[in-house]
Amino acid sequence: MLLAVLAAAAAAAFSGQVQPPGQIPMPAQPPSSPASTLNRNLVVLDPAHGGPDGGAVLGDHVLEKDVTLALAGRLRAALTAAGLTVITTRDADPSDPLSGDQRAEIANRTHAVACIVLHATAVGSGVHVYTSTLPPPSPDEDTGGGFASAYVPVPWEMAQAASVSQSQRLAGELTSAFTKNNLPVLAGQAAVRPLDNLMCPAVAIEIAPLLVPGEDATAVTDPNYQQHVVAALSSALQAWREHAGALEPPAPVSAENSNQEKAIAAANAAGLARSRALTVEQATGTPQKRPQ
Amino acid sequence: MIPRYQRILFWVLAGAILLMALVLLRGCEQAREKLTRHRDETPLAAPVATASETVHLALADDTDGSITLVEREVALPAEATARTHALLARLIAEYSYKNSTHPIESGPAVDDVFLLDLPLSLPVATGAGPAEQQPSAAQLGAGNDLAAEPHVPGGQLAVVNLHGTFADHHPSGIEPEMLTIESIIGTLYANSPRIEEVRFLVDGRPRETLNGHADLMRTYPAVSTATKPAPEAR
Repeated sequence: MLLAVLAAAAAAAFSGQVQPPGQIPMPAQPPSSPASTLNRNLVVLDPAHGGPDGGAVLGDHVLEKDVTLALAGRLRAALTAAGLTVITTRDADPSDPLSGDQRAEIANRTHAVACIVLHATAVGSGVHVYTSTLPPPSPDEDTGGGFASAYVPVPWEMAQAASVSQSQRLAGELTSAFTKNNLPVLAGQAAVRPLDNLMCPAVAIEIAPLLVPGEDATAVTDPNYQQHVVAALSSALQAWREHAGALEPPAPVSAENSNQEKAIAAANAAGLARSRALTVEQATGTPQKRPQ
Repeated sequence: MIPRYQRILFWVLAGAILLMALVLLRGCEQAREKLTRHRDETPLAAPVATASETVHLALADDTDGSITLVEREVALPAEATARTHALLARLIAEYSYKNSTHPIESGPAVDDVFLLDLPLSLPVATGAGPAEQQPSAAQLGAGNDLAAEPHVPGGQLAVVNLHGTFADHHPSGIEPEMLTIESIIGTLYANSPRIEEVRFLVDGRPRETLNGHADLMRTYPAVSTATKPAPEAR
């Protein structure tokens, strides 16, 4: 049942349908356009945690879920003012928040030009930029456009693999923007959900207290600090939107026969515990099938 | 002149005191006999002196998110599982020091470490009947067990079972949690060449994250996680 729901959700991503969270997705409709492209004006923000999951405790009675929500609100306002459409996985603190898979499902339906997962911590300094630990698909894998390669099963835990290269480019641009704005930045890879499940250029941003030698630390709850981070993020995402015109849609991980086994073996080798798989359509207008 | 009833009362009380003293002494003797009877008089095992050896610890640093491989002199047991457990305990102890660059609350962190040979499934002989596939108890008892078959040395999966209190009190965040995971993996890689994969449990059960961020559901490959060169030997 869950597999069917997730498969339908992923298929809906390619058909451009967006449904509200919590609603059972409708069966995928054949896409009207054979070519799938990133929606250059759309950014998905995922304020991490929420509800009973408060995340890290940042100082006196300040929870990470509240900081990420506030940060998402500021970033949403800045991006909307810049002409971008923003979808957030939560706008409040629901008592029954969405799971990581459900958040990824929302993002995957939109084909956004960037998916930003927001975190906060009391450890470290400045801004931390993380991408998925998944390796990008090797160039010799079959991503051609023949009929045989029309059906591309992508393990749910490897959905990000096809977009890893774009995610790393996005992380590079964000890192440069933070550096230009005199913010200490730390870039790397991290095994954090739901990064591996996102089918868009995805980056996790974690803000930490701002430590400047000789000065008091600036807490992550500081409005000026948050605005500083948001300004850098907003400018970088606007620049990324311009670059996105040259981006090709993510090339799915190869699917057919040995390639499919290779993908699953790669998932296992990467330590991916869950083995459920999705069948997603490559942008060729052909109906989807599910792996046996 | 002391009244007669007072003299009688005095002697009665003195007798009662004497009687109680005798009862108390008898009770003490009985308790002592009981303890003596159940005392384990097996001599203690003689302590085994283990020489210190050089190990490599992948130490994390929160300030720049780096991991540095450093050398330490540690006395470790010879048995592989106990050795790995002691190694990780030593690693986590480094983080509880006052000037640690990756401070973690002191206390027991690693409950158990299990080392499993890879692949995890036993080989099944092809073309053999059911009776031949399953070794009998007599075969196992006669020394013809599976372990006696030629064994090709291969990799191992290290299952690290963390204490729930350690996970619950670990600093929360992507950076601190990933640094702890990478520190453990880097230390295992540097000291146990047979370990190829690492999995984590918390209180014996799978857990989604260490403390809200780092994924513990996946199997991590044992690779070098050091990002900075080792400092000069002191």
